[in-house]
Amino acid sequence: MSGSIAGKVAIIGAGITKFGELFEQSYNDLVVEAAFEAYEDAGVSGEDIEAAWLGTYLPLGWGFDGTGGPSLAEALNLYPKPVSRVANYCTTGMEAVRMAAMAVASGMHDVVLAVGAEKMREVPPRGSLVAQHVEKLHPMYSKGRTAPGSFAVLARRYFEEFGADKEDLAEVAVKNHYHGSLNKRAHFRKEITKEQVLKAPPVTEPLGLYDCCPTTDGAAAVVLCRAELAEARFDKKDYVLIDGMGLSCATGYITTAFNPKFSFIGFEATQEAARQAYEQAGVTNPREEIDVAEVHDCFTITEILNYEDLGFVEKGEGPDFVKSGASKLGGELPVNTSGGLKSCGHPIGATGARVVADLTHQLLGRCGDRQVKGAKRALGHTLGGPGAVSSVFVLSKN
Amino acid sequence: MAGITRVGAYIPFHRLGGDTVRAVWGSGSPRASRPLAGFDEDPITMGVEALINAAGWGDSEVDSLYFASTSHPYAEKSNASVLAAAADLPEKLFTLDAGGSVRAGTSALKAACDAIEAGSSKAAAVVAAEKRPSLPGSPDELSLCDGAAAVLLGKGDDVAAEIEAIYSWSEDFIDRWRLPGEGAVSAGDAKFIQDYGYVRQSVATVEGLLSQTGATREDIARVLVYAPDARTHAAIARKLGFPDSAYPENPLIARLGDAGAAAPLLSLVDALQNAEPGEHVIVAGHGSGGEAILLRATEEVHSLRSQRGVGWSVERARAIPNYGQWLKFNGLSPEEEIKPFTSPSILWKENRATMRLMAGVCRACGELQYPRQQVCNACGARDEWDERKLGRRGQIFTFIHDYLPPSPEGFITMATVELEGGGRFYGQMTNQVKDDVRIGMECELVFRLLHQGDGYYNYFWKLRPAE
Repeated sequence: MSGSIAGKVAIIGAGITKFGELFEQSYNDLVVEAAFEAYEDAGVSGEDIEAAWLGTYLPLGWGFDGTGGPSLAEALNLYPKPVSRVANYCTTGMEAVRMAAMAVASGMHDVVLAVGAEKMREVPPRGSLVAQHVEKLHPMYSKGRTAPGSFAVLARRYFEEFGADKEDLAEVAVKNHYHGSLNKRAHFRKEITKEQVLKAPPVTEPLGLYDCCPTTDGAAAVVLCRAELAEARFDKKDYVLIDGMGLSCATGYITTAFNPKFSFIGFEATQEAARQAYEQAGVTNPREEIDVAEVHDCFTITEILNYEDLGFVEKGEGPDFVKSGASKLGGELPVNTSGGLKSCGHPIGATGARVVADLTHQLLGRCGDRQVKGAKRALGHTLGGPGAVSSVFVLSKN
Repeated sequence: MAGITRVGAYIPFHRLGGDTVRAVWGSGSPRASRPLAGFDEDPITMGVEALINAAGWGDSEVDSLYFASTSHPYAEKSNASVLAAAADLPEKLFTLDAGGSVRAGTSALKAACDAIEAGSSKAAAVVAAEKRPSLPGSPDELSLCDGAAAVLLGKGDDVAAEIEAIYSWSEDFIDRWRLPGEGAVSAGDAKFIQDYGYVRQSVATVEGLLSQTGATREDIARVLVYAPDARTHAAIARKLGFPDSAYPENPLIARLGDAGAAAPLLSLVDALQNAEPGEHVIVAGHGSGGEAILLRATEEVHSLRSQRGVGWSVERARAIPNYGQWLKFNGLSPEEEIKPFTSPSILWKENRATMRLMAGVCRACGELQYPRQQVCNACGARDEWDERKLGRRGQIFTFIHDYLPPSPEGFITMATVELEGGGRFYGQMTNQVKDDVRIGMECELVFRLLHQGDGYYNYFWKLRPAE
């Protein structure tokens, strides 16, 4: 039997650093900035934090930080409290929040901290994700695969089955760059045109430069507490509740592309994680019941697949959903009002925590030009490894 | 009587054109077209392809394997054992790496034939393969040929060409040589080595066979001799004195170039695929003496025509676009350094899956999985697997061209292919024309050098268009 997180955990503070090429800041600088912003927002100090979770995907891949709980304990002086590091591909930051929420829901802790952080720009360009695939992993299987390559194969198959094309993907890039232009913490803050997207150099055909999220530094943090303490102990009138959390591992990391059952037009992991989260949250019609969403747009094709896998539209209808403006600010279900991974960048361990923190700001009405008015219920989604694992959160304003 | 039962050949599809060389160096015959191993090919991979062309895809009964080359990738460590694994030969197998001379191909053929005659081997495979070394701007650059040939030997009804006699002799002679580590072949005085080396020795080799067997020149339908160039081939032919009709009208040395130890076997495979029953064929290897082998085509000889030989490869030839590619293929242009992770213990543990392409079929639920886990990913049964070799051919389900990873061609095409017999394979494509790749395209698995992580050769399978 699976239980439900609904109503048990409150998010009372959120912090997000500027995302970008932060050559002047260290990993610890980012962690401290995000955590202390969340402390301040929550009205707590480090002494209130009983336990913490750190999400960093790949320490030793492009930096030395984040190998374990002590990386966070040291940066924030959380000695001698229980602190753990978690990793789950690109859902890593959300996993830190999920672990922290479960610790609260279990009754083990009253007030906890979840931080996601990744410092990806302290290495040469090829020291990044490309090198991870070429220089690490299995000596034979999937050699030659890259992050964009492992999603571009879905774009190709999706085009084949539904007649979509690169212009459909460009709609996602243009929308998310527009949203990013309104977010002062985004890595990219310039609007782009469809022509620019289509004329950009190919990265992994059929994906071009503007179909891909950048390599970025950043961190985000949230402070969680038992729901009943939000007001009773911390005097919060407005806060955010976790209504549902789902996680699914639906294929293997290396074996996905070998798996005869893998459709290459969507991700079972997302569908299953959404099912779990919707069940806990009591969501039956996500398109109607969700007011704002942050989904994993590591590549433009991914956002289109996410619309469908999350149940916003039927399979094959993703391109029309974005073309209609439904997922743009002012549309019926604005998606990635932060600019998404496309504009914010994707510091892997930070992203999931950034999604939760950003939706917290949306639900509390703090997003200025990009605020979705009256947003009461939000959905956060991350997807990793490539499509092997997905995490979905449903959040609401108290 | 021992004889040849099956044949196969492989010439790489890439060609270095004389015009491409001339554009860089100012000289080079515009008609020249040198077969060139790709950046992911070496004598082992080419030998595997020739061997599979001869022996088929799995289920082989070969019990001895002779691998001849003057350019073995490994100076120390068995090369033949890589061929044996990739061609999925039985594990109870005698292997021998033969080298040291361009005569190694015929020497290996003799040793295999003797083993069959002696009864120590029931089915032997002889493979000769070369990646011929030449320096940029040298005449050898256009006169050499990379490639591989394979013949299977046995006794019985399926013999397509009986080996009636073999003559060998030895005479220490310096014509061409190469010391360990040198990137090109050196040669003695041109006139001396032609007259006293190639011509005199080849004549002695063939005449030794004729006098040993009592055969006359009129008895022989086809005479195949080794020569480093077309001019020398013509000189040998004149001196040997067979009727003109006995020599190939357009010998491989003129069509393709000097394939070293692979040359006699390539000529033999090509000749047997065109031979009629009853024809006698002489094939001679050269090098500090020589071997001459007398064969007689049987009623079965036409059965060899359906196997992939020289003609099959040549039809697929394609010129490389520029001289820079040649430099990259040969590691002569600095590449971004990558150090892929690898491990001898992983390669050993997973050998049946990675080299022999063995998938698992779950006995509990029937699911085919590759690469398989210990626990079935469909039903959860633990260690309930039957082994099944993946099919070789399939159709592209999806693919991409990726410009991010370092590659001599500037991009890597990755594809997932649905294989005949079940399962999918996901990996790099090779020999593809970028704009021709499409969903549904027929592909086949070919054995290639994937990378040189840890300093040794890491071989694996790639996907090649097969339409």
